[in-house]
Amino acid sequence: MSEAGQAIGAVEVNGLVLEARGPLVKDVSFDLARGESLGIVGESGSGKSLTLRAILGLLPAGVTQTSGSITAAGRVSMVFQDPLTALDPLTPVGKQVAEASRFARHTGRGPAMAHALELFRQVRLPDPETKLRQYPHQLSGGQRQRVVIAMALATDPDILLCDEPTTALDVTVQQQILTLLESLRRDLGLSMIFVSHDLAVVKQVCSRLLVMRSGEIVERGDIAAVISNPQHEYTRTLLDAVLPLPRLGSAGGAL
Amino acid sequence: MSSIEVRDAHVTFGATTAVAGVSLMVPSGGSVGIVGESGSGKTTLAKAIVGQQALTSGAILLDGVELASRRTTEQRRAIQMVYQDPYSSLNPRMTVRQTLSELLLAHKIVPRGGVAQRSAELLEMVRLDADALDAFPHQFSGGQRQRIAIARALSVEPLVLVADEPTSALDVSVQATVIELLARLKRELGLTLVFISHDLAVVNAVCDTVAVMNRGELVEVAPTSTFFTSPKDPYSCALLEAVPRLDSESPTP
Repeated sequence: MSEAGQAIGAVEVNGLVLEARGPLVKDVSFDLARGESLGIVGESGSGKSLTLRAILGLLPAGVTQTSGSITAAGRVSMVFQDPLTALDPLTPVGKQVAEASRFARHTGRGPAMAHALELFRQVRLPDPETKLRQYPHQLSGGQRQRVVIAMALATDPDILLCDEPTTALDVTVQQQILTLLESLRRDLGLSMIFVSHDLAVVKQVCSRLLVMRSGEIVERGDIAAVISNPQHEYTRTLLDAVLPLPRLGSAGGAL
Repeated sequence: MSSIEVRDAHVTFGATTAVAGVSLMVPSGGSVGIVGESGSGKTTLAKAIVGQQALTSGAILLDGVELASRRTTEQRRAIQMVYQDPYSSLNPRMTVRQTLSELLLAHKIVPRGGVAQRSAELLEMVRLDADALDAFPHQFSGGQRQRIAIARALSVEPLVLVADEPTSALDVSVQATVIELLARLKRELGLTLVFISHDLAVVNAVCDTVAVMNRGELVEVAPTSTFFTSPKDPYSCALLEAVPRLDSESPTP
């Protein structure tokens, strides 16, 4: 996977074109250094999730890469949007995480289950020993997403791809998962690409931003700079669509 | 114009208590946003108001009149609901015209000859072209579908509109247009609005009162203007602090 001279954890996408019956992603290029966090925002159909899937090498049936190159140096892993569909309902969650670990580490069942327990602690699942034996339906939405994150970490990734990992969650749970992802990124030195339709969410976990629309990157840059001084009209539209909330404790009431 | 009141409502499912003694008054033309997390009981409360869920005890009052567990046609007409997911709440095999005419005729809103015109007017109310009448739900975008669902709710000329997370399945920019539409319709038609959402920013944009639910109970009811700047209940504070904001700190690379 790694090209000569490219540091582990780096990602380089060059002139990526993805097509089904028509073009879906058109000439997308960006790169990511080790340990960096990049956010991709855009609406449904902007090509942000497809770009992520292309990096993972898991394009949906019928979508092909017709041009461009992707180099991802190191192991790539993905956290999916909906933990209910990402997990097998008929297998205990500990076994599911252990399977991912066995696949990556080529170990036996015992060490893999020990690794799963270690991962459950790392993603701060309460009562991890009991959780290993439970099924997805016995866990809350936030706990399920922690299992999905544990499963992504089970393959010892260098690059973590996140596809709207908090969209299905409540706002307080979302906050916990974002905090968890951010601390894992720092502690493990992961490179992260975080796809979302919500600019405010991306702002919490990323330092750089790409704005996509209709398969193209319309704006890119430091996230604080893009938000305070958007250059492209579409970015402004996205920013305007974020509904304002008064600051806590501020005087004068709403709007 | 009608007021809606919930008086000491309880809903239990076996050993689970979904709604535990909720009392709430929404004056005529008022708009209340019921916020809370999954499992807080907000959707169960919405269903109870519309009459899809029987109360274990307590009462729902429309204009001060208690609604019996079997409501009259008039009472059912008066309170209408817009659902979260416009993909599953519209019949995929009926055109917009069929969906709207069925209701207009069944409830005798207009005589048979006036159905076509009234259907077109309803679409105009939700800012859709009249040529959308002969299309099927799958031919529309998510935002357009939610407009059709709103037109359907309005077709029977309700006094109270209950909207259960009407924007959470939509993209942010589409969400903004649907919110604008709801706010305008509420103003123009004098609707009383009960808005269920987990999104505080949406409630701030639409409602004059915020009611926070947690574990089946109302923990705080306050005017929107004071709620967002000085929430009283610790749970309300936790909820507000968890909202991601554009002006927050970014992580350092």
